[in-house]
Amino acid sequence: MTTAEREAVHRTAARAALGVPGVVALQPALAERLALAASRVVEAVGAGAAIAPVGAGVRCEIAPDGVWHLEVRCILDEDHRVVDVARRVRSDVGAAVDTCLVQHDAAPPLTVRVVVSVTRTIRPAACETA
Amino acid sequence: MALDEPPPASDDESMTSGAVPAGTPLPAEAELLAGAERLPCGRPLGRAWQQARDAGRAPDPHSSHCPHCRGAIEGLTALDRATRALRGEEQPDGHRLATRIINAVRTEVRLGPMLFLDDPDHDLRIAESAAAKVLRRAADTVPGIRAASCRIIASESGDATHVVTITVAATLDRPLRGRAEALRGAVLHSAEHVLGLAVTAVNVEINAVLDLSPVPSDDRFELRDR
Repeated sequence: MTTAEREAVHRTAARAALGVPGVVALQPALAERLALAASRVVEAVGAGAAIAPVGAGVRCEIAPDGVWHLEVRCILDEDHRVVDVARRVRSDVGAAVDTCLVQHDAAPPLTVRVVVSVTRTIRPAACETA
Repeated sequence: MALDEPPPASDDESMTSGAVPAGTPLPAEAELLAGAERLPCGRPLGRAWQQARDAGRAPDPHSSHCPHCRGAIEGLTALDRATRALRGEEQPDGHRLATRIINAVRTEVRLGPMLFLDDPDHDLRIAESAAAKVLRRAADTVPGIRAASCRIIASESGDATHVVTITVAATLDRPLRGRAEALRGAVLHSAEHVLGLAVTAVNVEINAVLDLSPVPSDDRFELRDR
């Protein structure tokens, strides 16, 4: 897996997940949060550019048998049924990453497995501050 | 070093050699700072940066329309801003850094175990802390009940079912057995219809007596917000 492929998969998965109704945000994993906490540069960059790297909240690994394993960590709007939103995230992210890998001429087999982890649910009124 | 500052002296010839074609000399400073790497559009990175930084020059049609040049310029601008911010800081604040790291770890730890949602593929999960919050709120909707804690344990059968143990305070104006049944109903309903979590049993523990006097509005808000 090249770095470009990995980054493209991250971005694609994050965009697909955020496009699902009921998904408020993606929650960075511990390693990403530690990197953010330890980095003053991010704060400075955040003053006028992207606050967190695109794809934060998506973990991506490729198994020796060629299967792509993705974990998407979501914060959901509590007005939606959790399992329904999670199913939609799994479906949309899987389809989007499939397409992305085909476009990047990734080596077959193109099997993508998506795990959706819901870390929080929040009220719609709190969505803007999530 | 900010990007528009003079670079330190360097003997590294490799930084300035190779990629710049004859006849299109780059400003040496920009080349040293941003590198002679070529963008996918063919323009050297250093030239794109120099073009963007030189406000006195007429706008460059290529840079303003090329996504590669625009992306590179935006990235370098952000890096420049960050570099200036780092340089402007006084002494590193170790305490703030430690606090940020501790908070990041705490946030992760508070999630608790991941529980499988009710889906046959077993790849949809929810943090116990998030599910427990929803179930506590469901318990609070039962008159005379106020939830104190909620634990959700996966069944040992491995079939993505769960056992909920909820600890509450209750008023004594009605029989507790009926209250407990109403509480079970509320929790089971919420587990299925709000979460989509398979719950096979709800253990209810009443460990405090709830005062019948009205709860002050501020306290009610705090309880509801757990």
